[in-house]
Amino acid sequence: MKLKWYSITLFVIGVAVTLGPALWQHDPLEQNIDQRLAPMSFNYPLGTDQFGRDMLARIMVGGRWSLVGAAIVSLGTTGLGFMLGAMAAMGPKWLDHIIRRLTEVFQAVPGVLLALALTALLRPSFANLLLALVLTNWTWYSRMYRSMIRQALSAAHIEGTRALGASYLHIVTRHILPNIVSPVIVIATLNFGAVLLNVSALSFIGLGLPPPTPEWGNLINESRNFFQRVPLLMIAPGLCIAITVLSVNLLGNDLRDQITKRQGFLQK
Amino acid sequence: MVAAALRTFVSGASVFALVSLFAFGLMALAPGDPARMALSASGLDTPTPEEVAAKRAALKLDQPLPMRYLNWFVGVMRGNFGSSYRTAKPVYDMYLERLPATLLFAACTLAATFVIALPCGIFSALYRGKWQDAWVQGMAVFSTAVPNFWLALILILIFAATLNWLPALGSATPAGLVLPAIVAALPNIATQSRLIRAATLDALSEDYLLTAYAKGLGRYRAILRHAMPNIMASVCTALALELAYLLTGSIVIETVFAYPGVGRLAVEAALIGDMPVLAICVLAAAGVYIFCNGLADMALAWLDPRVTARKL
Repeated sequence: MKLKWYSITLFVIGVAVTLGPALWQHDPLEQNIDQRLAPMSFNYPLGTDQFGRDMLARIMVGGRWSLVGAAIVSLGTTGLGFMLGAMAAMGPKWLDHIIRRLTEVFQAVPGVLLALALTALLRPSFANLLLALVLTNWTWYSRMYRSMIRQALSAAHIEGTRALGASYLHIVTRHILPNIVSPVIVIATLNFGAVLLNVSALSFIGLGLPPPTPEWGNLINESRNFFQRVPLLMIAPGLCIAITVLSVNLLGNDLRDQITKRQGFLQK
Repeated sequence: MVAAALRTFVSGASVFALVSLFAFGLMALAPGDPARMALSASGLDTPTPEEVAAKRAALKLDQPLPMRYLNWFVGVMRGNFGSSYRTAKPVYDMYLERLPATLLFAACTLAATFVIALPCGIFSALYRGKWQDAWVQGMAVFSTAVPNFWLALILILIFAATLNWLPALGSATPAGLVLPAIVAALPNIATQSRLIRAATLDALSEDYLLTAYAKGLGRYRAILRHAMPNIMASVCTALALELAYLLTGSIVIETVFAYPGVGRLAVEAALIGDMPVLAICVLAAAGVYIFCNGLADMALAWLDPRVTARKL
């Protein structure tokens, strides 16, 4: 595999977010009133915000929240979707029916509105925001996994295992999961970008982390009062989101193309 | 056809009933006492226990949950959705007040999506694998990666703050709709043009186009006359769902532009925990979605008779 530019950006973002805050000279929460809304300089490469806090440090720490949040949502939806998809594919017919109805109900209300309603019900916090996103995003996954598992179930070796009296759990974990693990990873990767956009959008609206903690979405929200004077405060975090989503999407596309070539499993 | 329509209606109604349970749950399970909230909304901040008890009885909060749900649902069917915890106004009126702005916004966005995505999709299918195709596809990849609220702020910065051509705040006027509609349409254009491209590619390999060419029709005329219904059939579901989504109010975009639509109503309600308002937003969204979905099924059967043949 050739080294693509998106793998380099993903690597840089990963390093900046994990190691960056420890190595960088400024603390993301340290206020410096003399340096309010300072322009770009050697000391402050991305300038400072309205409290004189260093923007670069805030973006690096903010990325932790955004990326870890999006990763948790992706893992959660994959897990929940896979579980319900497996139950629908292998369980009795009535269970399949119930899960399908449930899917329709969750699809009937747009995800953002549903997440909004759920966070309001559970009281706004970052954890509840992530939970709400998991609960609103699983439908698409479960349908996808249901049809993938059904396809895998029709293979001869599964039929053989069944005849030997293996339990459903055994079949799913030992025989089906290894077969479909690469498409599952591709689907999760392809959706990571959309999840990151959702997390930052909801936290931009004000449903995420409370003020002093930076996160890419709420950094943009905080910059709204000043963005005409200091556009950089708004542009920089948004650019981070856009570049990350773009890179992850391209990575997902490439992974998909590779496994399509190898096994023709996922349809384009 | 009638049987299919009936089946669509029954499954739609059952989904709506389940969503109404969820909407009721929002109000019943929310933190805080609805009676106290209703009292403080009407100006009584420190009610006596007797007043609270009287209000509880008036709102029928002392009844068991299933009864409360039934009461509420019957009210909803009659257009009585309850009152806001904040303004004490009927939420139905609050919703209707905001609806026209969202309708206008949805119409503009959908029109923009369609007018741009259709030629883009067909164009990129006709030039499959060439640079024109790559360019359209590349733009689509970019526009789905950009956060829409951020793009909105950047467009405000350029066209409102710097050039002063358009207002920074959205409103239901031609000038006030331009920026919100562009931002809302952009990701839709990307997904729709991709669908249209795929549909056109499918249609291009069909025999009926060969027949049309053999009759002496030009390339564009053949596509317009003969392939178009099939292309429309394959995008009409996606387009109907997009419409449903837009009618619910593009929550994020309405918030950025402070656009007075139903999406912003939902955000305002969520931030202060005004559950009856959220409940009507959820119910209306589900109603619109189910309706549009059913409509798309019907339209599909009308555009492509083979679909009904397969279903029945």
